[in-house]
Formats: sequence, structure tokens, C-alpha cells
Amino acid sequence: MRIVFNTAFEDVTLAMQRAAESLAEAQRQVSTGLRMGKLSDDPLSAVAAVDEHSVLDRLDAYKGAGDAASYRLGLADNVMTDIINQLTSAQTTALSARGSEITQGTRDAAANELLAIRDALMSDINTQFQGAYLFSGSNVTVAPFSVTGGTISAYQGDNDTNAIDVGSGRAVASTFDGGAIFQGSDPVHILDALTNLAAAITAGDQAGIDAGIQALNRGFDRANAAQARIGNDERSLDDARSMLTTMHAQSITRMSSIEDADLAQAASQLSQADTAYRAALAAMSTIGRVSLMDYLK
Amino acid sequence: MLRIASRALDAQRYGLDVTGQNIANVNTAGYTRRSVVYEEVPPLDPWSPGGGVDVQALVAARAPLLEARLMFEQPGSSREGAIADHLAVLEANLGQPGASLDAALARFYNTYAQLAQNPISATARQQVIVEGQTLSRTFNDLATGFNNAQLNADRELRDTVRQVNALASQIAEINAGIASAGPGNADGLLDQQSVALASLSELVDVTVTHNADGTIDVSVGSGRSLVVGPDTFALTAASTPPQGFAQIISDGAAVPTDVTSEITGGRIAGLLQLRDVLIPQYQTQLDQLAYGVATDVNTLATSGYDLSGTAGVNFFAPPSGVAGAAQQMAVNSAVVADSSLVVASATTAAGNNDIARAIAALQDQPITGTTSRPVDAWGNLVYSVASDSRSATQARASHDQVIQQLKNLKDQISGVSIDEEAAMLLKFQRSYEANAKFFQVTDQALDLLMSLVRT
Repeated sequence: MRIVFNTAFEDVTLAMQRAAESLAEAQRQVSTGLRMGKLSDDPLSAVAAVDEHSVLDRLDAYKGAGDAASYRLGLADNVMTDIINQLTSAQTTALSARGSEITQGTRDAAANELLAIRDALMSDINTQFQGAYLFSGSNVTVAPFSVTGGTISAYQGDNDTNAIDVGSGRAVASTFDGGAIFQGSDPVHILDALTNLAAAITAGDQAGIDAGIQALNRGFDRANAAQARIGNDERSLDDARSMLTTMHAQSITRMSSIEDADLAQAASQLSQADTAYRAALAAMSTIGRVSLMDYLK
Repeated sequence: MLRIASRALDAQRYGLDVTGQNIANVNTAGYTRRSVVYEEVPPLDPWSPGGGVDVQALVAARAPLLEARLMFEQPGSSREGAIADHLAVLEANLGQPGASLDAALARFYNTYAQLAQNPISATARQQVIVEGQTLSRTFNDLATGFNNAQLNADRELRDTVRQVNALASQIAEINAGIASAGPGNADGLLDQQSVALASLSELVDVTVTHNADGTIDVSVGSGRSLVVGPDTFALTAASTPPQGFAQIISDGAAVPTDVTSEITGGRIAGLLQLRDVLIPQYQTQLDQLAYGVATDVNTLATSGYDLSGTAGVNFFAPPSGVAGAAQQMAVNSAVVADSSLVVASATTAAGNNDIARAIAALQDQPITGTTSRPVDAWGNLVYSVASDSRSATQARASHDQVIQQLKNLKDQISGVSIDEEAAMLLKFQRSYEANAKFFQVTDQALDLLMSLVRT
């Protein structure tokens, strides 16, 4: 086989370029920690990375929604606890004012206490979160109850409660139907019931007091049921967040397997590529170094 | 005897000249090494030993079969090279996973999820608009990137047609030179012809007919003449509607003929494949995605109510159709001007968040009329570009490997070896010295004879 200078030169030049490419690629992997430099390095993995990034973005969004929902549910839970406590106090006060032997002064004091409880309940049910009423259903810009000229309005919200998606196919309530909690199927809401009860106690109206106590009992049951639903949502949210944490970790692992370079392998390849590149450079420097021309005198 | 010596000295010096020419052209592209063929000069009469030596021919070590094989292989490499070069740029325009349209889509839908947490929040509404605009700009930029890639392919196509015509003219001139020089006297021109043909075959696949006088005829496509002897039939890049892209017209037929579809190899074929097949496919995929996203969001938005309880308006400016949807995508200017027009509610109640939730959930559902979620459609587009780019790169590498081997084989026959030429130098130098000695001896013998005559 005839060996000509140009062939040797081109072969070694090509080998040198390939070695330089391999070295640059190994350096890129080690320095960036990423397996792929461009999409065409591995089209299938590129698509998998797109999908996995989308999964991560969605999980992050669910996590954010879960955090927001957690604040709301926590606040609603606290409000319901206070409402239940207030209703319990009201029940106790009403029961203590029941009976013919109670003095007028005691009845008046009990009535005043019930009216104070009513005002506290109204304050509770009109709780706002980020400028929106929590217990107005979807009518979040309107307070559930308001007072005009000493008269408490009917429930002003609606029964269309909002939900927040906190996971795939999993949603928790973000607003609550104050009417269902405070009135349900009763003819009057709990606030008016307390007003009426206070009036009955002041007047010594035993039938009115009994009716008021029964209304308080029903209100207490509704509040407990509502808090139970909130508690269920909180538990569901905890489950969802726990699942999100697991899914997030799994997604990160998958992402890493798709995108991250095996650093040990990359370092080994870098070493090999460096050796190959040095060898190619050395080979290039030997081309044409010696020829018959050197021996012609 | 002096005549024999003189002729031999001329012949050996010619050998030295040829060796020098070979060494001088060791790096000349297309140069074919030459060698001298000597012949004995026959005796003039039966008692004569002979007339010495003469140069019979100067032979170029050509490898026609390998050259033909290279001509066959080169267009494939160039075609894939053109596709790989342009797709590498296009691929970079697509961005990295998690930092491109996929991220813009996720952020857009997720701001609707945030709006669902507090539908009356002015900040959340403004954020939806901002992300809608970002998404629109991302679609616009990608569409512009595809359009520019198409325009660049067309621009390069026109340049390449000009190069083809320049090379065709060069080959025609070389043909004229070969024809006038006559057979056996045109090795330099034949080398130039070979180089010009190799360059031409990188640009377009050609069919070459070798004539007896050393000239060649070149045709493109289905036998459309490009060069016939000293004549050239130029290709023309003619702008044609609707986009004004160039179609290739050949003058090498009875009437100017569109040969665009007949070109299947060379850089031109790659550029045509990019401009007319691959990029339009990508554009359609992107447009379908943009159209689907905008239409699905608008459908939900117009089924709901804005913050004031008024029937909802389109969030995106409604696309006129699939074609051009990515380039046209924009947030409805009325919504941009008034964030209360962002629709989150399915009822007239401002605080209802059903539409916001439904729009956020669109990211998990197939685009209407398709089986792909938005991110899947984007993934499909990414895969199309990436796999086409990879295929072209691999195909080019495969062709290049074959080409390199063929070039090596050709160089083994036609290339200049420094060692070999050094040996030839030595050979001719020694021959020249020996003949010079013969001349000297002859001269001395004649001197002796002349001195005898004088005495």
C-alpha cells in the first residue's frame, strides 16, 4: 500500500478533531453535570425530560395550591372551633336562664351574654382571607351577614362553594356555605335565633327559651358537621401533600436519570478522551518528521 | 554517442522536472501524481546498438472508478449535511426541556390555578395576563424561528444555484481547454475538471458523461443538461408564489423546465427538503398546538363570566385558522387593558372559580380534536426536530466515513508520496550523473581522437 503524506495528514487531522470533540463533550458533561448538551443527543430522553419537567411544574403548582388551601382550611377550622365554643357557651347560658325561679337580673345578664355571643358569632362567620369572605360560598365579595339599623340580614352569600385542586383528581374546599352552617333548614339563622332567645329569656318565655335552646342545639350540630368536613379536607390535604412530596422526589429521581450525567463515568471518559486527544496531537507532530529527504546529501 | 548522451540527459532531466512538479503539488487539491514513461530509441542501422532513450509519455495516475464512486457518495453527505447544519440552529431555537414553551405552558396554566385560589385577586388576574403574554411571545418567537429557518434555507438555495452555475461555467471552460489541448496534453486541466466536478457534486447530484476527447457533459435531474462540451445551460432560482420561495428552472431542455422535484442529492436537495418538507411539518405542529391552546382556553372563557358578572370574552385573540396560529397568537387586547375581563367564574358570582380551575386543568387534557395534551404536542415537536437532526447528523457521518475511505484509496493511487518522490529524485539524479559521465567519456574519447589527427 502506498502511503502518501496527505492521506496520513487527513487521517490524523480527522482523528484529532474526533478526539477533541470527545474531550469537549466529556468536559461539558463533567462541568455541567448534564448528560445531554443538545436535544438531538438523545431525542427520546429530550421528550422524556419535557414530560418530566411538566410533571414537576404541575406538582409544584399543586404544592402551592396545597399551601394556600392549608392556610384557608386552618383558618376555617379555627373559626369553626370558636363558633362551636361560642355555641356551647350560648347553650350553657341559655340553660342557666331556664326556669321560673331565675331572677330578672339573672335573665337580663344571660340575655346580654347571648347577644354578645351572637355578635362574636357574626364576627366569626364574616371572617375574611386575602380580602375574600370565607363563609359566603362563591359570593366572596359580600359578607355572609350584615347589620343594618340593628337588624341582621339574611345570609347574603350563596351555596356554591369553591374548591382548590391540590392533586390530580383531589380538591378541597376553599370557601364555605355560611348559610348551611348558620341556618340549614331552620326558619331563621342562628344569629336571629340568639336574638330571639335573648328576648325570650328577658321575658321569661319558657317556650321561647326551649325553642331557642333547640335552635342552638341544631346550630351546634351543623357547626360540628361543618368542622368535621373541614377536618376531612385537612386530612385529605395532608394525604395529598404527603403524596406530592413522594411524587416530587420520584420525579426528581427520574429527571436526574434522564438529564444528569453519571459523574464517575463522565470523569473516566474525560480522562480517556484527554489521553486520546494527547495521542492524536502526538501523532500529528510525527507526520512527515522523517522522510527519505533527510538522507539525501 | 554524443547524441545518445544528450538525449539521455534531456530524458533524465525531464524525470527530475516531473518529480519536482509532483513534490511542488503535494498539497494541491485534485493533483494527480505524474510519472514518466521512457522508451528506447531504436537503432538507425543493424550495426548500431540504438539511439538511446526518449520520453514516451507523461502518465497521470488516475483512479476513475474511485472518482466515480466518490461522485456517487458526495451528494448524499452534502444533502444530510445541509439538513444537519440548519436543524442544529433550529434545535437550539427550541430551547432546553423545562426552559422553553413547555415551561411557558405550565406557568400559564398554573397561574389560572393560582387565580382559582382567589378569583377576585387583581394580582392573580394580572399574573394570568402576564403569563398569557409570555406564552404568546414564546409561540411568536418559535414561529419566527421556523420562518427564519425557512427563509435561510431559501437564501442558501439561491446562493447554491449561483455556485452551481459558476462551477458549470468553469467545467465548460475546462472542456474547451481540453478539446483544444488534445488528448494526452491536458493532465492539469483534467485535474481541475476533477476538482470542479467534486465541488459540483457537493451542491447537486449530477450525471456525468465522459467523452473520448476527455471533455465531459454534465446533467442534473432527469437528464437536464447543465454542461455540454464548452456550453453551459444555467439553472435559475425563480421566485414563485405564494411565499416567493425559489424553484429551480433548467435551461437544459427544449423549454425552461422546473426541475426542483427532480433534484434528490447534494446540498440543494437538503435545502429543499428542509424548506419544503421538514420545516413546514414543524410549523404545522406548532400552529396546531397554538390553535388548540388558544381555542380551548377561549371556549372555556366565553362560557363563563368576568369579575363584574358579565359574559366572558376570549382570553386570546381568536386565531383565524390553524395556519399561522403560532405567529398570530396574542392575548385579547381588551383583556390586557382590563384584568377584570379575565374569566374565572362559571356563574355571575365574582368569587366562583370553576372556569379558572377548568382552564388550569386543560394542561392535563388532550387538546380538542387531538389525543395529545399541550405538553405532549410540544414533546412531539421537540422529538421531530431532534430525531431529524440526529438522523441527518448520523447519515452525514456515515457518508463521510465512506467518502474518507474512498479518498484514502484514491490518494493511494493518485496522491504524492514524499518518500517515493525522494527515491525518484535519487534515481533520476544518479541516471543524470551516469549519462553525464558517459558524455564526459565520449567527449574525452573524441578529444583523444582529435589530438591524434592533429599530430
